[in-house]
Amino acid sequence: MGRRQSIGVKVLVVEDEPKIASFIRKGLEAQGFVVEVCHHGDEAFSLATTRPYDALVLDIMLPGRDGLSILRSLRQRKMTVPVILLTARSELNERVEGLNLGADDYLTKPFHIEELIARLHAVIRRASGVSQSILAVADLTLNLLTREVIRAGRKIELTPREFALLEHLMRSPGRVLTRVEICERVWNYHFDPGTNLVDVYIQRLRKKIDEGFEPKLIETIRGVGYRIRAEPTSSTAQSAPTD
Amino acid sequence: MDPKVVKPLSSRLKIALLSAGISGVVLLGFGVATWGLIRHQRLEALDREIRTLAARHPGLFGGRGQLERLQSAFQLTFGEDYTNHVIFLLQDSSGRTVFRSPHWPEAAAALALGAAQVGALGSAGTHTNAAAPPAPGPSPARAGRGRGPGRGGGWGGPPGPVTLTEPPRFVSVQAPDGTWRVGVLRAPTVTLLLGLNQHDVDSELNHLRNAFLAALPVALLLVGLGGWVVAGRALRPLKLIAETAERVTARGLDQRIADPGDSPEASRLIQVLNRMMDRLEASFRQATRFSADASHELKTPLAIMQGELENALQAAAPGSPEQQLFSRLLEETQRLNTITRSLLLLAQADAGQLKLNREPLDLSAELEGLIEDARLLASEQNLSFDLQVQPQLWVQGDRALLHTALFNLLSNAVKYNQPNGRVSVTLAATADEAVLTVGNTGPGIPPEDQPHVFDRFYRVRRSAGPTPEGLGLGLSLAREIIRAHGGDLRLEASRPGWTCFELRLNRVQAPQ
Repeated sequence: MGRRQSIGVKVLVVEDEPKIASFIRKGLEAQGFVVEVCHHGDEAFSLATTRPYDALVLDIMLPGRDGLSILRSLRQRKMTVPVILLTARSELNERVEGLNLGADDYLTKPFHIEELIARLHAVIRRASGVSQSILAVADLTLNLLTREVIRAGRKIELTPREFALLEHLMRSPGRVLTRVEICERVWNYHFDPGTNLVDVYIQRLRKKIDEGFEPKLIETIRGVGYRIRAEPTSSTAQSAPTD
Repeated sequence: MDPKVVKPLSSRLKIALLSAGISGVVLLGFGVATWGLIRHQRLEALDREIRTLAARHPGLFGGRGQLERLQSAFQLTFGEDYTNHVIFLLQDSSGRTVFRSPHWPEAAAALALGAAQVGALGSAGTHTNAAAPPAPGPSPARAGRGRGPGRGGGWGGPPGPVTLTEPPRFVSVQAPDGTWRVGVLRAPTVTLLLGLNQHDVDSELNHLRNAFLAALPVALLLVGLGGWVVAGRALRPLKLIAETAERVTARGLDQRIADPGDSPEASRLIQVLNRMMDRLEASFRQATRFSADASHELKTPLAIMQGELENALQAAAPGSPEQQLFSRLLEETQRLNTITRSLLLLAQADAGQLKLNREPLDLSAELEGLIEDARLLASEQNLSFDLQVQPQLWVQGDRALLHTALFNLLSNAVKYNQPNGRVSVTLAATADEAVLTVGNTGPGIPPEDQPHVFDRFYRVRRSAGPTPEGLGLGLSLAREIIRAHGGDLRLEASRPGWTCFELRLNRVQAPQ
């Protein structure tokens, strides 16, 4: 998965703040997505209804039609294109309303670009009917439904925290995740960095999934963070269709 | 902080009791005075009657024969049982009893004369057989016998006008069969003691007294009730004001006092208070909107910085100096994000608008997970953990926010501890609350800093060693979060070697 999966995938990013739109474009393009950006709600709606996109990243606060109204109109026209909503506010009502209107996912600003990419992959896979319940890297597979982790045919027992950590690493294969980002995505902690929590958990995880196996999958990027090795051969394991 | 402090009486009760008390004293005084006045009048009337009787029957001062006739006259006036109504005794100038009417009580003469300052009567009392013990109720036989003594005496004198040597004196004499009003009338040769039964007067006065005493509690109750009602009405605006103030604490500054409109004084006070609330609300909204707006405005540039840095970090060669720089910058961005988020939450809490995504939470289980993380944080300092967590304590709360608050307490207990120290966590249930204490064996918070631990951006400077990293917002945010949940967070104790925070949250039933 990873970069290979995103090559040629068309995404419309609707965001009125040009600089935010710009870094989203850069981040997605670096992953191989084909990105179109638009800053106005009305324009976004006509684009979304006339051109084929694989996914929409939709800010809620927009000049012209707002994000929620665009989403509502799309769903009324039976357009099932996956939509990820962006908002500056983390208010529950808005989130619930967005999901009720048929949004596939939801991100609160500021967000990690890795997280946006991982979620885009997830919604696109779901929309294309490909199983998204199994993540795989090399001979390591992680089943999101059964919560089974298997390496080289051997079942590995993980604690819930370790499982969540591995899941996030495997959702962004080959990408460096900083400690802070891991802390926030895995533990949902918003406290000051400088914690060694992540290091301790990475060590535990390493013991379970890398000790006695080759190659070592979890890499330390000194002074930055961690990543899981992206094996070019790995993306075949997860393409079994379901549903 | 003793919960058993004696509560002062409510003003309403005080007013009711006071009005009843004052009325009671006034009524009692009035009653006693009235009773005394009536008694005085009644006795005077009785005295007049005695004089009239003496004047109408000058024979009283005469000889035995006249006295016997007199008895017949009294029998006519007062009926067969006249001895129950009138008594008399005649002494000569030497103090010897000349005649004594039947029914004359033994002690009466001595008492009456003693009161009237007449000398001793000597053996006069034993002289006649009229001293038969008085029997209740009249009888004709007694009346007949009463005439008997009349035959004994030989003293006599013509009936005629009598001159008294001194003004008559009157005295009430307590006898075994009742109270007599006895008049002492001194004529030149004899002294007449003429008594009328005081029973009617006494019983009338007793009736009056009993009626008064029976009516008094009822009157006091009515006055007290009236005071209670009037005080309640008068104090109602106070109650309204207090209720509104409570709502302000609970729900925010948009509460106003409703004016019942039945009292101009209260209306004015309510209007003034409401205007004050208007002004407060306006300036408060301005201030909180400012911080909320400011944090919203900060979010966009922060999102841009973070996004650009993350892109650059991914593009840089793994482990290169550039990538490490980007990572450090990202950490700082993250710190700004955390401050912004905390400020926004604090602004919302100040405005009473902290959004809580409430769900039932097993506080014990959540705590166990957080303690697990805290243990990892503590691994470098070699801290020991002393845990007493009562399982299955459920609360209703926002999971993410409660995590923020609880983890702040735990990470503080780790951060401000000393190497090889101890972190002590207890979670216990009271009747309706879950009480969490988090203690550490750190150097303690200096007394002058203790009142400020919940202040924003306040950090205790350590005299020795580096100040641990932190934002100075954690504790104040934690307290706001807990208070928004209807609980409270306070510093329970802090001295060298022991610092303890106590957190209370309302418990709920475990969901099925």
